Amino acid sequence: MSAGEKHSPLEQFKIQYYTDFPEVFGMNINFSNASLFMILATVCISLFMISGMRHRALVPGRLQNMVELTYEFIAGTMRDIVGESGRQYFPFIFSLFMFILFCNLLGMLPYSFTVTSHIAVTFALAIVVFVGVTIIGFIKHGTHFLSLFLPKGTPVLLAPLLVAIELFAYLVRPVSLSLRLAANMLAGHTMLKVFAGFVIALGALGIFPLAFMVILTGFEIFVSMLQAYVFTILTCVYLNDALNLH
Amino acid sequence: MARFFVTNQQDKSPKLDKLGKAIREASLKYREPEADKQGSTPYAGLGMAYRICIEMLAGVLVGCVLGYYLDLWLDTKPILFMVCFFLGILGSGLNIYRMATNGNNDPKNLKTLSEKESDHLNDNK
Repeated sequence: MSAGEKHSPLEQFKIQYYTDFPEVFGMNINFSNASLFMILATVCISLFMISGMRHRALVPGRLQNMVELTYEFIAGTMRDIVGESGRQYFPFIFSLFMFILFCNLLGMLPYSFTVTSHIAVTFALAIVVFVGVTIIGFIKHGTHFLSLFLPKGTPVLLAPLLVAIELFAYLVRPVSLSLRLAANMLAGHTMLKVFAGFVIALGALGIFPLAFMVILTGFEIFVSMLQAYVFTILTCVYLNDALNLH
Repeated sequence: MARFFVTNQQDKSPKLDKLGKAIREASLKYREPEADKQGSTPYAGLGMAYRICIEMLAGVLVGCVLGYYLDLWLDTKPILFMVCFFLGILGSGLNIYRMATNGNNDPKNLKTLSEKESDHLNDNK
């Protein structure tokens, strides 16, 4: 064991490149560990869905039952929140949920990399949702979409201030969506690493941090699934706002 | 005895049609969007606490960033930054208020005091 070697708990979030291509139009196109885990998440989702539905039994077996459960979960959530008008957006919402869920859960494996702990990834997802929902709103309602910012029954004097506040509340959405997911993943995994360091540092007393880590790992798995669900729910709520204008 | 079990098809089919139509209309009405039922698990409070913290932070962040870049673009050095800072806080406060009242009361049903009084005026009649 090398003396004086300090491992920072934040080292697990470092991007490592596996290739060495030159920059293309100013963009870094090297294959990184983030890319690897995103591809791994997509492959896992595809394997899960395709092999689950391979038999297409009327009475589902275990794997097909799980696939149908996840489908019905998202479909039911969308039906409750968006209603009939949002049914065409189900593939996107389902892909979003499964991608975030699998990325979060794959990050719980030892020696893996949590893709969604980086703001770059979560902000990309959130801005796609935000811009997409705004464009959908404008396509469906035209300029009447801007009536989203002026609730009914406001006195005329307060209207400009209220429009400004509503506009800011609308603009806060993608930032809060992305920041929530990234902060939860970052905080959770940093805590796991810090307590893991305590286990080694305390020697024989390290059994207590180890027991806490068992509980913390369970909690982190729960938070991974909850954050994927919250992201999806909020996407459905924003979609409903755009489609049905409250 | 057999008379009770004989169904006359010509008599029943308009009634069945009407029943079918009523069922279809009722099921369409049932599929209205409802408020999301997130508050049922025991960790729901923790989830909402996380969301509120992040909303507050995001509001300040969006206000500051937007204010700073608008100032840089329009050369109005501190004014727009301060205005957007407060608007960002108020905006995220609005989001938090909406989150807090979404599970319980419909904010569209919030009435003024005089409307509430006139509601109860005819109660004892």
